[in-house]
Amino acid sequence: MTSWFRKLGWLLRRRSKEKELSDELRFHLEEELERRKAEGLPAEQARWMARRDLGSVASLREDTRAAWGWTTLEQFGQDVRYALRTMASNRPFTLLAIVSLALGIGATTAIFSVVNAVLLRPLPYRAPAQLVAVSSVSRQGGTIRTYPTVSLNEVEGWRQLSGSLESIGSFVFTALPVSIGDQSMYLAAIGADQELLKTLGVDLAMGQNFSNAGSAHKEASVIISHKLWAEAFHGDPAAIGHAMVMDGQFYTVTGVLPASFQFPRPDASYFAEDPDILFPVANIADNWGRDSAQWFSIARLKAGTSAVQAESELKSLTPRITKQDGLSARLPALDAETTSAVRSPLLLLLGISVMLLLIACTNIMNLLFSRATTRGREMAIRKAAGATNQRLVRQMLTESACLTALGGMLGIGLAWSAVGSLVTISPAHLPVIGRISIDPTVTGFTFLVCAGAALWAGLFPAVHTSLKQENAPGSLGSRTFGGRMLARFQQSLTVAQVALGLGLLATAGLLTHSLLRLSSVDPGFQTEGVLGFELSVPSDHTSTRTSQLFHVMLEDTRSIPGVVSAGWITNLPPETRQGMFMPFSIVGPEAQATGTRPRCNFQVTSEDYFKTVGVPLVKGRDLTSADTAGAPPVVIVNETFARQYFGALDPLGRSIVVGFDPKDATRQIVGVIRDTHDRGLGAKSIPTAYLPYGQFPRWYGSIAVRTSVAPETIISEIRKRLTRIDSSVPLKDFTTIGARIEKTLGSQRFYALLAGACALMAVLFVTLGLYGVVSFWVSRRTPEIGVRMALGAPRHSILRGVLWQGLRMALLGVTGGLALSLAASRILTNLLFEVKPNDPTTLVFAAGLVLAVTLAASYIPAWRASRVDPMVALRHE
Amino acid sequence: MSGKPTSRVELLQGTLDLLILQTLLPAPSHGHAVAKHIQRTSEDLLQVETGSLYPALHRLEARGWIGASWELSDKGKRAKYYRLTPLGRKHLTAEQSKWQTFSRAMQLILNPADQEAP
Repeated sequence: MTSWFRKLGWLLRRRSKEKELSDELRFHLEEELERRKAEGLPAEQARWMARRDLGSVASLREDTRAAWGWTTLEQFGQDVRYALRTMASNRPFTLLAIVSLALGIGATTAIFSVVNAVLLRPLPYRAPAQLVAVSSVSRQGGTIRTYPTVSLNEVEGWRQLSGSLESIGSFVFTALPVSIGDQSMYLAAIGADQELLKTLGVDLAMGQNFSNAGSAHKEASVIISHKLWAEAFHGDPAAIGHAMVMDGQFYTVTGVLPASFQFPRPDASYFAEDPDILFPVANIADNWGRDSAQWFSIARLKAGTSAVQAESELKSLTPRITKQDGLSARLPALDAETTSAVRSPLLLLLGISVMLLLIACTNIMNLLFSRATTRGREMAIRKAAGATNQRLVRQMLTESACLTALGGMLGIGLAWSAVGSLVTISPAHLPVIGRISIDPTVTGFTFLVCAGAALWAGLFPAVHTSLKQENAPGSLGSRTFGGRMLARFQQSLTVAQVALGLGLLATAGLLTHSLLRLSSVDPGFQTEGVLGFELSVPSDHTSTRTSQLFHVMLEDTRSIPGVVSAGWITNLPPETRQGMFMPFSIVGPEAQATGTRPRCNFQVTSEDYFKTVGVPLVKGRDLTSADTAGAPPVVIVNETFARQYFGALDPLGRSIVVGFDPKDATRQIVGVIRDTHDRGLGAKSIPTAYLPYGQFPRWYGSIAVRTSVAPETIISEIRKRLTRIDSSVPLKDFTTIGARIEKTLGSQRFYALLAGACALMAVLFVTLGLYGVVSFWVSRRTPEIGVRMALGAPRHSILRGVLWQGLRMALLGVTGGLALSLAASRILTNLLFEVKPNDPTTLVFAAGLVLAVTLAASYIPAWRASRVDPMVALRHE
Repeated sequence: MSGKPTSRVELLQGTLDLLILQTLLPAPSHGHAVAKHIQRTSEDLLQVETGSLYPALHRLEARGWIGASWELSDKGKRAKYYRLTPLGRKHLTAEQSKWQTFSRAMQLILNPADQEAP
């Protein structure tokens, strides 16, 4: 250790160290001279012999310096200085190399930062590997469906009976009107049982969990998020025990979640925002229906129990819990379930960015090859002066390392500044853990990527150059060695680049094509000029009161100038996730055929809703304002419902019984509406039944408004009017149907945008690379071209010859790229909408674009070659 | 120098360090004197090349076995004097015994007669 410090000290005062060595050697020389003189030699001879005895001072100094222990470092310093000088002397090359590396590394880093935040970070809970998302599997007449939700009765049954689960928690997402002091807000909330936080292994920042066991009893306790605590209570510890009004009830704050807490999203696309409130699920369980499979559930497996064992145990327990047949549970790992929808597209994007970087590095490799050839003379001299192969390789690798280091730094800078916009365009439901950021993991990854890039770009040219010297020691000429082999190697690299570039372009093209297809789907409902918003009343309102209130509000909305029509609907279209799934039974002979009670999606709606959103009736009648509580119960179904449950028979006039109690009112089907893409543009219509809001009141819903003026201009008037009717009813999420559709395209747009950006850069790099290789080919052949022209070759034949060089590489590359795209197409199958991975239009378009740009890239050097002045070219030799 | 180079032996790898340390044992000395001392004491059998002497001295200094300081020589000139450090002394003792063992072993093998004689 002390010796290390001594060496470091020497390194710091190396100047004086060098001088000391000179002094020491001079003293030695003088002593030797004295000695020789003393032996009686004449002065001149004595001096000469003393000098000879000392040997080569240069190598003596070199060897002594080596003893100081920092030769490697010193040489590295030399190499870096030399590399920087070389880079500075060839600005266009350096700039191009650094910028393309920066773009490649920047893209890879930025995409990796997303992959890191979504796929790599562990879920922020205790031992997340033991957590499973409980989903239910139901068998309905041969078809097996998996829902991400279960019923509360099942959860409670499993909790009591299961031996393989350590604990099981249930929860449901909702939004509630909340007042704290004089602040009123509409907050995202979670109805959860006491077991949920225990199952996740999350400790509260302060206060305590709900006290009730399980979820059977109502309790007025609430746990708030760290954010709400900071905003509404200004971080005051006295918040614990503070009262707040939620959903019309008084609650006491009993706990605050830690700041780092993130709510699990087992179904990645459910709620975009983290909830601010956790309240006892028992308070809504009866209203929402304990038997209805709409509750999310997360369980922790007992140590040593596998998910498969637990699954079979739950399956055997289920018949004891619920009378419904054909139900069982599936227990996918929570982390896998959370990221299931985004894993493959994110990995695909990462792959694309790595390919982009590979193309950029290969360009640099090719340019270094070209330069190594022109630097043959320099290398030969350096070798003659005693440089070893290893030393030369190291020196040239230092150069590519300097390039990648600069490119990498610039790239991280680019990624760092791009992360913000990446977050903005990222789909709302991306299950990010923590924040998307350039954290140490990402930086480490980028460092490795840079090292790999430096090696890939620099190693082959370096080894090639250092070895080549030995075979051709006499080649001090400026252009001879390397020759055909090198040219062929460079050309194969370019062909591979073209192939890869086309592969990326085709992928991005397919994603874009699919996005265009998806966004051009006719949703089946009106997207222009229709505004929607959500509203809810505290659930303690009676049905009659709720019905009356909403009716008044709807009527008042209709009376606003500029409003053409308005209607009530539970969930505005497109609604990709939520729905009210309830069992029902068909009255009549079909009921016996199916055996179990089927479930379908229910919407509560009003007269004029279908007219407002432009959904046509296929047969029967629309709901009217006469379909009130006292009138005969009716229902409207969609075409899918009619087809699935009545087949070719006419559903009109048939009756169904809706709800969990089979003794519920019998409803007559009075109308059939056209199927729409109300579950998202890419989704098929599901069986849906529409109940009149007068006969099936809910505490929440939405109003759709068709306007004759710009929808945005009417929002404030709606707010003003409805607040005047009842200021305690929160209104939220004013959006047009068109904007809602746009939002559902978020993830596809994100993938297409990133893939497209990478692919365009890749094609640009490929073009530059091809240009470089063709130019180099021309520059090496300038004398030959000169001779041919002197012998009378016409300019256009020279032009054609060079063009052919480029075109040949492009054609080979495009062929390879098409083969590559077809081979890799399976990866894309699940990401594409109505576009086949081998879609000929996209492939032909991509191939055409690549051919066109590569042809343009080879035209420039070809034109230059054809303008060569034969005299200049010959003199050049 | 002495006109009969054939009688000289090449230094074995690693022995120069030992010789330098041994030379510095009685008193500090400068590079030239160390070389001459080795040459003289070995009756001119060992010739220390300047090209290996100075790298060796600096290497030993880097390891902390010898220390260095600039002092005036007996002729009044500034010279870099090397002296043995306690660490170097310890190392020398260890190396000496190792070397003696080695040299005895070589002796026994190369001259079996010596063994039978007594």
